[in-house]
Amino acid sequence: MKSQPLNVTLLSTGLSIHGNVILDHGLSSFGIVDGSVVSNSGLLHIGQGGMVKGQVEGEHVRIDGTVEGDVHARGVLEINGRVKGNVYYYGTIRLGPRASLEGQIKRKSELTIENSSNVQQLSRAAAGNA
Amino acid sequence: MDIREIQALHAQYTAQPVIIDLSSHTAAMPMLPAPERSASGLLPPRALLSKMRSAGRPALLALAIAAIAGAGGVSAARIWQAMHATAHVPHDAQTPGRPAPAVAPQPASADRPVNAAPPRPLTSGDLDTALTSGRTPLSHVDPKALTAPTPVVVAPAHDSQPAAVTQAAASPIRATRAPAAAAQPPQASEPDATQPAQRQDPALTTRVAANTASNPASQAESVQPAATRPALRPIHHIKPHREPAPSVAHDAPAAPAAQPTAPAAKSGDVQLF
Repeated sequence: MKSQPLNVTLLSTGLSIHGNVILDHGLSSFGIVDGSVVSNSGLLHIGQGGMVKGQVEGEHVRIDGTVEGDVHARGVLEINGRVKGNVYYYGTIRLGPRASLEGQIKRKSELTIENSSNVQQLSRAAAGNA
Repeated sequence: MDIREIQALHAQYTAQPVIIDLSSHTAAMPMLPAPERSASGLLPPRALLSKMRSAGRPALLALAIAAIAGAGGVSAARIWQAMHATAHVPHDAQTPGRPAPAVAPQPASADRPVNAAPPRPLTSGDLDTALTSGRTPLSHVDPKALTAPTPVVVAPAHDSQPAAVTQAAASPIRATRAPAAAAQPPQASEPDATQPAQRQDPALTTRVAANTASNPASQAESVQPAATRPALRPIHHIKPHREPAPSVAHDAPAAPAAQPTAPAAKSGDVQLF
C-alpha cells in the first residue's frame, strides 16, 4: 500500500477570501479569510501575517497569526499568535511566547456540535459557493 | 517561511497510513497457535498432563487414605482374632478339665456331706458349655454309682493306681459314708479286735475278692459276720486298721484308701441315699 502524497492547500500572502473555507486536508493560510475555516484532517495552519475573521475548526490547529473568533481543535492546539475568542480543545494545548488570548480556554471530552443550524448554514454556504 | 518549511510542518502532523499485512504478521508470529487447534475439542497433551496431575493428587491421597484404613482394619481384625482366640483357649481348656477337679476333691472331703456343685462358682461360661455339650452341673454325678453297687474292678484299680486316681473314682455318695461310719465308733472298735471273725461272710467275700488278694486285712473285714450289723460299718472301720498305719497321722490319708472297700459292702446302701 502506497503512502498518500502530502496534500496541503496554501493561501499565500496577498490573498483575501470572503466566505467559509472547508477542506479535507491541510491548509496553510497567510492571507485574509473573512469567514469560517474548517479542515477535517491534517494541519490547519494560520501563518504569521494571516488573519481569519470567523470560526477556526480543525484536527490539528496551529495559530501564528490572528483569529477573531472561536477556535476548536480535536487534537493538538498550538497558539503562538493572537486569538480573540474562546478556545476549545480536546487533546493537548501549547501556548507559545507570542500567544495572546482574549477569551476562555475550555477542554472538552467529546466532540459536540454546539449549533446544528450553523452547520446547516455552512453546508448551504458551501453548496451555494460551489 | 518558505514552502519547504511549510511542507515539513505539515508532515509533522500528517497521519501515518496504517498498513495491515496479514501474511507478514502471520510470518512474524509463527509460534501463535492456529485458531483451528483451539477450536478443536481435543486437548493438547500438555493440558491433559496438567489436568491429570491436578486430578491425580486427590486421587492419590484418597488411595493412600484407603490403603491406610484397610491396613488398619486388617491389623485390628487380626488383633481381635488373636484376643478372641486367647480368650477361648483357656475357656476351652477348662471345660474338659472341669469334671476332674469336681470329682477329685470329693474323696478328700469324705467327712463333708454330698456336694454335687462344682468346687468353683458357676459362671456364664460354664452354663454355656453345659448347654452346648448337653451336660448339666450334676452330670458328673454318676447315677449308677448311687443305685448299683460299685463294681469290683474299682478296688484293684485303687490298690494299684495312685491315690489321685482313686480319689477321682470316688463318688459323692461314698463320701457320706464316712460320717455315718464315724457315728458308731464303739461297734467299729469291736471288729478291730475280731478281724479274723469277719472272714465268715460269703456274700462280701465275692465282692471284695480283688481287695483281699492284695490286702488280707480287707479280706478279713469282708468276712466279718453280716448278721450282727450292716456290712458297711465294719468295713468302713476296718480299713484304717487294715493298713497298719505307721502313725496316727496316716489315718487321714488312709481314709480315701478305705473307700474302695466301702462300695464293696454298699449293696444295700442305696436306701440310705
